[in-house]
Amino acid sequence: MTNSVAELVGAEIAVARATVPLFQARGLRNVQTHYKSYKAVAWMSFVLSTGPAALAGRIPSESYNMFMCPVRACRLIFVPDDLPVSDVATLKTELQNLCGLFYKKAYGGDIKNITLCLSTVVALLDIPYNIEACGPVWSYCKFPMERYIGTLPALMRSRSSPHAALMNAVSQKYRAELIASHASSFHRELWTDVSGRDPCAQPEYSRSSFACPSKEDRQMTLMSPRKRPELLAGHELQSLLKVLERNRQGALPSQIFSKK
Amino acid sequence: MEELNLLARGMLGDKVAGVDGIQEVRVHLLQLTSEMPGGNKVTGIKGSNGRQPSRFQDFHGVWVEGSNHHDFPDKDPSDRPASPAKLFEKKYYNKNRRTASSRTEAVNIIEAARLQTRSKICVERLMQVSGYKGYFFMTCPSPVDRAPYPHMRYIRDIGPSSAPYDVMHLVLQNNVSNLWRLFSGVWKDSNQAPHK
Repeated sequence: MTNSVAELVGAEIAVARATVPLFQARGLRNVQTHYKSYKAVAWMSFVLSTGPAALAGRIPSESYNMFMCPVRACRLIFVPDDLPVSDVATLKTELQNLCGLFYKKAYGGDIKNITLCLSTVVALLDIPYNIEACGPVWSYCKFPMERYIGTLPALMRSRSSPHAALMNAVSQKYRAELIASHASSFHRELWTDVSGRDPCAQPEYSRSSFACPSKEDRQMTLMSPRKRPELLAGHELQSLLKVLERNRQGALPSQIFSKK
Repeated sequence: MEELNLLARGMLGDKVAGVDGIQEVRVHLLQLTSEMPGGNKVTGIKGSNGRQPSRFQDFHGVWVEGSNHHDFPDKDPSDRPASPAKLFEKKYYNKNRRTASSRTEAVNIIEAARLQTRSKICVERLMQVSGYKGYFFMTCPSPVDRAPYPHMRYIRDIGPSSAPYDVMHLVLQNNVSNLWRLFSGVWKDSNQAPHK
């Protein structure tokens, strides 16, 4: 792919930012300009949705076939559900094909061309056995932990002693959550009077819950929004309506919310 | 999943050693995740620096003199493979699985060599071949560490499965970004020339 085509692909992805789907946690960015600082969520969006469309016809067919191997594999890996045995077998095949093609294309089949200390593409072959041994990927993936790490800098109010400030803020935060959790569970009436919120009206799954999320809540708990949903308006709404109009399978919703 | 939720809610009617009466017992699932180098440190595995980088499979990469890297081609390119039975082959990738017992066996050999005050090079070579560093508290503790913590036997018996890979970083941050580098011409070969 030439530089101009790579820039065109990046620009197309950046223009599509206004039509970010509801479950997209991060806005789309130009992949050619920002590929070094792309977050995992952005790469997931690239491999699951934007990449196959943006690269079609712009890279050689052999390379595109190689790219479609991880695309098909990721559709199985990152599904927030249980993975049937047949899908694990498909996953094994796709990853083996990717491994072979990558070695052939990137390294030209010659060990002297390897620039990495470890060929990380080989480690992909372990993923199906990971799933067989430890369960579906959503149960141990690091998205919730990364999201949690992202909340920590805001708690660090002191620059002279950041560690102590962070420890104080974290302990205060969890002490408050513990009190709120205890009060809402065992003193519901008192809690409702003081806070003005009915604890029974809140969703069953909360941060203080030790229960595993149900199937309906799983996607929400895995990819919790960074901000509250907001009403779409202006250019973003017009762009989204155009896409929905094009792919319409039913009546358009009366209100459209966005989460970023 | 339903069973785990049931255990988290609590089971009444169990007797606990040292406590009088019937107790309600709750079971919670504790899970530690780490990135690949961190996981290798926790499990005492040599990891990417070793000849056997995989946490789940027992195989050898191919070392070529003059290169500073291990390679995992479809077929061994060298004339004299060091150990043909365990060389990497994509087709038979799942042939030699690492288990808790195979790990204990390999670690015992390394520790025996240390006890016999064998040379440092000899111990290092054993570590390179097996992929383990020696006794490790979490996954493969020494008999002295093992005795005071009998209830940690479950984790030790799980074997390598107790430390799954962090798939998010492996797939998205490593391999998918490498694919973009390859397609957009940023990928360089060993002499820093752009990929053709």
